[in-house]
Amino acid sequence: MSTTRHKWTVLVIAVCLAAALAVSAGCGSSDTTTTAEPGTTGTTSSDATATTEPAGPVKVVVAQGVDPTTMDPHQQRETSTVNVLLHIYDPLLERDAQDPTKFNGILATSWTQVDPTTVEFKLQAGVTFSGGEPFDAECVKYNVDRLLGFLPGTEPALLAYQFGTIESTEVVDAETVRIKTKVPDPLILSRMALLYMIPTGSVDADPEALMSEPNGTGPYNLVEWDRNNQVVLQAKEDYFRGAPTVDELVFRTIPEASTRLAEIQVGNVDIITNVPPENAAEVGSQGQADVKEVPSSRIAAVWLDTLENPTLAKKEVRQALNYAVDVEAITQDVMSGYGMPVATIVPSYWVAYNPDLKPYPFDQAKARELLAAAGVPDGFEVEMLLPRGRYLMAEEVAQAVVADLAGVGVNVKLNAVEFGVFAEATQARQIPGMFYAAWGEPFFDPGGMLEVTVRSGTDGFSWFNNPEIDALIDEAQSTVGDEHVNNLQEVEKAIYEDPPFIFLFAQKDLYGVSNRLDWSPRSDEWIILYGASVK
Amino acid sequence: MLQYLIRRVLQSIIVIILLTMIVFVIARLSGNPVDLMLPMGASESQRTQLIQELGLDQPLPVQYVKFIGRAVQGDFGQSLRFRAPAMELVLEKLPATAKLALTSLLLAIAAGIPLGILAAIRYRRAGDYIVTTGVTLGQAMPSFWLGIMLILIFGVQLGWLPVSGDEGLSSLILPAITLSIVPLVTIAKVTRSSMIGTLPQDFVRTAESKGLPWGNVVRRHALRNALIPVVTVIGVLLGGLLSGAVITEQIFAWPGIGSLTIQSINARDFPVVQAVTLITSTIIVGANLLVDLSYSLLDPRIRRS
Repeated sequence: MSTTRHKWTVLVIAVCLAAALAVSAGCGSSDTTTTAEPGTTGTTSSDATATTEPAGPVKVVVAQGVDPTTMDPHQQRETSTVNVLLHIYDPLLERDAQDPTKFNGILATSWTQVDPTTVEFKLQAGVTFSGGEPFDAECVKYNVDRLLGFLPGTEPALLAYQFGTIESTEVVDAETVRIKTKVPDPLILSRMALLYMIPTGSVDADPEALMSEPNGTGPYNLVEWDRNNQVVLQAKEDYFRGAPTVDELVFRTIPEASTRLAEIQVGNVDIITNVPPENAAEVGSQGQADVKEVPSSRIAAVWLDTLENPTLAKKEVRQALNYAVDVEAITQDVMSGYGMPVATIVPSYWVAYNPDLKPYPFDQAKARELLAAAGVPDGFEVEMLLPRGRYLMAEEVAQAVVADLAGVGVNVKLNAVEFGVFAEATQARQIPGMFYAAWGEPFFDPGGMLEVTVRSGTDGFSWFNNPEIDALIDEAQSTVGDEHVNNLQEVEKAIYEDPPFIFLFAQKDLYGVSNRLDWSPRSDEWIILYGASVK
Repeated sequence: MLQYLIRRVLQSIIVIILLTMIVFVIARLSGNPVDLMLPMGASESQRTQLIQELGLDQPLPVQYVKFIGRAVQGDFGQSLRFRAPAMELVLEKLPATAKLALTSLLLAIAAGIPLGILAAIRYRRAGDYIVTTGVTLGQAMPSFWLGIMLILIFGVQLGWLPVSGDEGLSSLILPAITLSIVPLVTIAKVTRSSMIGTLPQDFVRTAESKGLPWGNVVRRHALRNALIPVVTVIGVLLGGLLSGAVITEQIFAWPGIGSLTIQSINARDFPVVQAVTLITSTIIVGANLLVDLSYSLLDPRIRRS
């Protein structure tokens, strides 16, 4: 009997192996059929394949963590969506890749500040949309009116919040258009660079007409949008600035960071964003890709509640906190060098950087002196709110800050919460003494950020009230050109003296880029592949 | 029998309605989409406007009744994120998840049952210990970790299989293996204990003493009887497969309802979360109903009680 039992065991193992083989064969067979095809044609005429191969379409794959939300460029607010749409639509002008304070014309050929509240744009002649509609001054007016809800019976579009200063659009002639603002607006060019042009009248009959079927003047057309999976774009041979060298552009949605990392390692995708610093070394492990870094427009800081917390209301205490934190060490050790300490909230590559201000030195003795002078020689207790999973290395940075503050007797209780909870708490203005955030400023001009995060007023993101600084900010924001810059530098000096934050650092963004792709990342987080090429 | 059937179907419908209610409330308790949709520092008026647009200013019971009223007419609302019909989005993604879940289930059955039999007939000997140890290991392995390990080994280091996405049969292998581990372990364990209970029984001994070949005894007599609890457990496993798909799809960027669920929860996209819940709970409740019914067909005692 035992021999038959033994036979049965062998049989079971054999069945298992057979099942495993069947599975692998089933999958393998599909592989072999796909590879067999070029193989068989290759044996009959190897010359033919050699000549046709270089002529094949050039395809580039970008992996992002989330899907675009729409194909209507006025109804979105996320970089992940813009990255797709900027290949389908064109703006009047585009921020320069090297110097983010400068602009290059796309649909506009030139622009001039006619007076403090008026900018005049000269437009490209003869540009048409994919659907054949002409682009002209009338079209620019339609876009502004549609965005801001000026068309009869319409609501402002989602992107309108960036364009609150615009009063009206005036068509001078077919190729000239003027944008008028309610007050002098130093950021008007930055705003216009966000406005991607849709055809005149395209959303009159059906406000959702462009939601899934885009129609732009840009270098690509939409081929397929498989939601939560991928967007496929095809190059337009007759694009007015010249046909793109990359024929097919694919944006894949890969939610998991480690999976994106694996895909760039093996060379299946060409660009991944937001590589965590601790994984930077892995990107190139298979020789397919490399890490590229670029200074970002995201500024990390610890917000201090100077309104409700009597201790933090004292200027000396806030100065002491800035002396107590070793920002240099945090950028080196925690951020692996992918962060640059800033004196206030303005890094060197922004408009109105004040070169006279140097980051607070790390000096805990000085910090203790200031705390003693403020009447809290033994420090104090405070809580810090920390949004999880939103900002690069936020937990690690916050822990380092907490450890440094403990060195001067300031005991911080960290309260890490999911971002949704954090957003709700800050909106409701219910924060403990401190919170950590990294503010993204898309305009490379601190004016807007200062208005929202420093200037007093309950609508914004500010827990600070200094009437003198308020007045300085208002002045800076109602002037243009050099005056605007000088005024902003004054504000920076003032908040350096009376800090609303613990100033930390400007982040660097890390991208994984495949070796075959000739492309450089931009500070504004936009992925622009027009002009990129494959080696 | 008909009465039993009607009673069970009604019960299932009530369960589904209760589930939608719970999800409806929990989703809204967890936060609102407005603060996530607006930029930081947006004004109160922008906020109020968006809240009204999305209909979130009304009391919860009113929102729920409206939701049910429209759902009955087949309207499950617009996705807040995509501004497209929520149910359409979910149904679009359902086939990919079905493909993954069914492949995993087949894999789990194809490997789990033979392993269970092997362990039972080699009870307390090397074969049993190897299988039991393997099963315990499989149970202890988080699928998240397993998925990433499979990607690193077969996708990156060896380069044999695609890392992620859904491009043909080869990209199905790694996610299917990852998702199959939990049901495989359960099936192997149930088969093993059920066989251990069956093998010493009189009818098996009788068959054996009649001189029938051992293979025949195991297959024809023991296995047939031992499989009944296994069939039941497979029905229950379907729910686990769908919830396991959430994690697996996230890791492998598999374009199914699992990754859609995660993205929708993160964005507080309530209509999509509700549509997903409705679909998955219907599938799970439906599968359990079928199992119960088939069980009552097999065993008349259940029908009568």
